[in-house]
Amino acid sequence: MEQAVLERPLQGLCVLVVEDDYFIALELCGALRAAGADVIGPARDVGTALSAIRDERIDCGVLDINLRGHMAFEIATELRARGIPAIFATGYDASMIPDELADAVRLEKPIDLTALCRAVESACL
Amino acid sequence: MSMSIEPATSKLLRRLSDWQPLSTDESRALEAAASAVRLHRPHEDLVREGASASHIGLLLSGFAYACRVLPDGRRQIVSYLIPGDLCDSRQLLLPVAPHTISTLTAANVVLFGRDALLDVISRHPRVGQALCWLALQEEMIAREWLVNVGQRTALERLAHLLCEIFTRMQMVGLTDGGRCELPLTQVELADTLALSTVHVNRTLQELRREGLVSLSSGLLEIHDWAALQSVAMFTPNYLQPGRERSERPRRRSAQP
Repeated sequence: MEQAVLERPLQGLCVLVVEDDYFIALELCGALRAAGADVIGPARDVGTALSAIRDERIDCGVLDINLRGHMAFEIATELRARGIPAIFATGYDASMIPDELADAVRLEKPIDLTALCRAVESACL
Repeated sequence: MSMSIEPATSKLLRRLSDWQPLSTDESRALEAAASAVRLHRPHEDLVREGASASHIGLLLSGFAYACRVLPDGRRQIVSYLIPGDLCDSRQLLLPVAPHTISTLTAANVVLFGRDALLDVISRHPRVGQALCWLALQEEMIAREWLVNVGQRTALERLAHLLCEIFTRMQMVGLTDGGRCELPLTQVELADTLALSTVHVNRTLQELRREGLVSLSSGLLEIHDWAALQSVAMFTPNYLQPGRERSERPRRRSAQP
């Protein structure tokens, strides 16, 4: 039997947060940290996110789709190329997501923070 | 850590004796298959979905629950475990755990080696039958839960769950008059009953206002069992398969 403690289920995981809305980013990062994750970011644009992927250890990405008019799909593709799961946290519906990323997990805004932490946990199992 | 004098398996034996009392030999064989008792903290995983399981736990004290989580984090609680329950009897035959089981409170768990338990069953077939009976009981509960989320209203659902857990606690001697421990939060109730937490909150208030039941600080108090049972359309028969049927209560007439 394992001894994982559920109160900090994300202990030891590095989670990249990409979100351009300051308050939402604050909320996401707070919840992930409270669950034990090390948060990378929040990155507010595509370029910052891509350099974080190059430079940092990342176990999972949580991505808003629309970053001030730029789509986050390139970030998801880059994560995926490295075998890192990407989770969309977005107001966009599934039809906006390109076919090659259609199987990515998508959480709808407003984000249920408990569900987000569970989603990250399952993605990293 | 001091264990009580009664054998670790006594609550399990008591449950099994609801089917048929086991002989001294059979009880001893079961007792001998039990290995270490472990104390777990609240909110700790006992079994992880998909993990291979060489041991089967028996909850001696405390509460636990089994749940399934969808990829986007939505969670359904699929069962509650109370003292005397195995976590999980399915693992006798399944090489991997079918769902995650986590503690709600601090819990003492005694472990049976899977092979040791299978060996007891092959030497004592009645132990195997008794364990089948336990699994049957779990399945009957799961079916009632399906009826709950499929057909019962929020009020009926919550009332039914409370009737069920209270009856199960009674069956292992853990009630005190109309009271028992029930360390569930409204979030857990919501994830059990397929309701929002707001809805659970309102429904609990309604049950309290009607003078049926109250739940606070981890304590369940039944104020009017007959009325609660009637709202829930609860009959305990499914918890004691094979027992004589008790009469099914009539649905209480509509509120004035």
